[in-house]
Amino acid sequence: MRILLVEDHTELQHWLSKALRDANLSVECADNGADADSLLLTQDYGLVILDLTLPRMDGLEVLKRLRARGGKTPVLILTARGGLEDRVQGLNLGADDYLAKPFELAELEARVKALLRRSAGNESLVYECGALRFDTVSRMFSYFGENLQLTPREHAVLEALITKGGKPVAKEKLFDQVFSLADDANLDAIELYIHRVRKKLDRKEPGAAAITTLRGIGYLLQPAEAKA
Amino acid sequence: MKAMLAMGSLRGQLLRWLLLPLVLLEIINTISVYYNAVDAADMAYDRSLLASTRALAERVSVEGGKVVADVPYVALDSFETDTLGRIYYKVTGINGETVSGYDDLPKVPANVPRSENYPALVRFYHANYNGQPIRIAALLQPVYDDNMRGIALIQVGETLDARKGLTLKILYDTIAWQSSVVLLAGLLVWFAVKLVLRPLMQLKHEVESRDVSDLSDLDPALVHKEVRPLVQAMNASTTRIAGLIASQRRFIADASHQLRTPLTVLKTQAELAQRELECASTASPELRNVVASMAATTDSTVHLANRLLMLARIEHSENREPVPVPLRETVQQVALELALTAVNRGIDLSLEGDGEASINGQALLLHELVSNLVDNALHYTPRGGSVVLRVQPGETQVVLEVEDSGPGIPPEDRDRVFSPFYRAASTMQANPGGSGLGLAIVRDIAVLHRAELELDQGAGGRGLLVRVRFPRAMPPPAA
Repeated sequence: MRILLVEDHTELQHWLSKALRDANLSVECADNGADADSLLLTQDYGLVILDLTLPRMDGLEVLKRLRARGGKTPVLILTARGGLEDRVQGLNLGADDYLAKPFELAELEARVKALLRRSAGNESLVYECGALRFDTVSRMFSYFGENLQLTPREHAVLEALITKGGKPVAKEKLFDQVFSLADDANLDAIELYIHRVRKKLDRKEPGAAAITTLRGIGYLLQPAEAKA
Repeated sequence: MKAMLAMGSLRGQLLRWLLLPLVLLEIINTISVYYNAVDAADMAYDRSLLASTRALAERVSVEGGKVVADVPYVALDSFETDTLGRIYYKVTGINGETVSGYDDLPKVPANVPRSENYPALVRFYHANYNGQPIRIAALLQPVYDDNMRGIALIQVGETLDARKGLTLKILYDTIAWQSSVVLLAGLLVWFAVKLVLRPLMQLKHEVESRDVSDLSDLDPALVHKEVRPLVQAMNASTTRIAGLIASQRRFIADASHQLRTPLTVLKTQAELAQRELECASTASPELRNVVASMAATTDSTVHLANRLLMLARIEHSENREPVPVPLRETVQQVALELALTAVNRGIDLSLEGDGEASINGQALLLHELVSNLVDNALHYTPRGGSVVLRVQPGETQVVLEVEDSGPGIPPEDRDRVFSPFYRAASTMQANPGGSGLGLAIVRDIAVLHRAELELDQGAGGRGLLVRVRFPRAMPPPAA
């Protein structure tokens, strides 16, 4: 899948395209909005990485034209304009993701890969945390290569945690995913399921996953050794 | 201050300009009233003096070719009691002979005109008699009998005690009245000035009670038409200052903005270099160290640029309409964002208190405030320590507390830590990449939200407790 990188700063364009090529992606570059617009008109790309402040045509205008033509190519906006308004405007105009300068290279690569995956229509995804795996297609958990037996609510808790990719989940959010509106459950009830899941994950060997409680805040699923 | 002294007080000036001419006018008025009073008293007393003279004249007749006067003491007595003074009289016959009375009563001076006020041939004049001033009425009375006719002169004089009393009374009354008018005018000026100055005082109050950052126009309609140009000039001056400040802020924002792209390049290069080194087995540990510190330095420069931009943005958002922001939710959001950092550093991060309370403000800035405080706390807390966040809704306030178990800040340093770029000596080691702007940003955002900021010791006298007291957002009145 080819990527179109639209960035007017030559240095940045050079180094970003190098980084992306190192990650085995094929990159073409444009250094102004008008060129980008005509390239998008004639060529087919898997992803556009678009700077907003561009000579000859503003990045937002390029995006607007692309979407007006019915172009479905995912667009990742890169910008030094950090304001919330710009962000909202970009997303409203049909951008798929947004990254503010300066960013971590790893972050850019992760987002690029996620967008490419999405555009390829390949939704099948496996989430991992140490030896714990979750397949989004089969919706099954495996732990150290064995199926993990979970009740529906335990399953919901663990799914909410693992799909966050190692980031913490607010307890209210977890509660919403585990209990339906009809359930007359207290917010603290979630602690019970966390406790049960924790027991099922409790293994001594390396690769064990563990749930950390952030009191009053939420929960975090991490490989146990990360928790020093 | 000098100008103030030179100008004196408005009230004093008004009093001087109003009261001095007024007093002068009152003095002139009093003098004229006095003379009028003297005239009026003379007129009144002259009338009764003439009456006495006429009464005496009726008793003058010609008997046997000689003018005679039959003056009973009783008649004179009644004159005296009427006038409260002494009465002197003299009747002079046709040939100038003294018929009766006091022979040495002063003569009618030649230049005294006949009084126009009465149908009689009467002249009034002042004279001295027996060492005291007297007023004399001289009446020419025709006398006749069958044989002779002629004119007799009847003079009656009275001492001036009574008319002096009257004029003095009129004078005193006038002075008393005029003084009370002057006094009243003074009081009126005093209160009028106070009344007139009230809008100015209100303006002063408004200017004083303004937020430091409030540079909006003052309403000229608050003061009188005459003072409006002053307010307008003040507004114009404030607008110029605001423009200047705004352009400086823009400069800071632009500068930190412009830094972003080169910083992104630098960051990308450093990261790529690190990756290359990881793959190359021959790289010396020294080189790896150098590149790693380059990457770290780039990160702290990025951090600094972001903070500068944030500071400029805070000032920029002052004019924005505040909205209710749920504080607990904001704190929880920040905690979720920083939880990984906390867990990776082995710090127990927790949030206490579960009542939600809204405060009025800017969601983005409040997020930044909490984020800075928690970030700071995590930086200075050693592994195994704890950071406790608390949101305590009260009647009128919502209190946010961030407590860590780090080294804390000694009381003498607590004021200084809020100044931009100040970094306590003890923090240099714990957080070498810090910008020294975090708490300055916290303070600016707190000021913008009219919140009070306190630094304290943590529980048990250890660590730092930052307390931010926000005014609680009042629920909108039911429409």
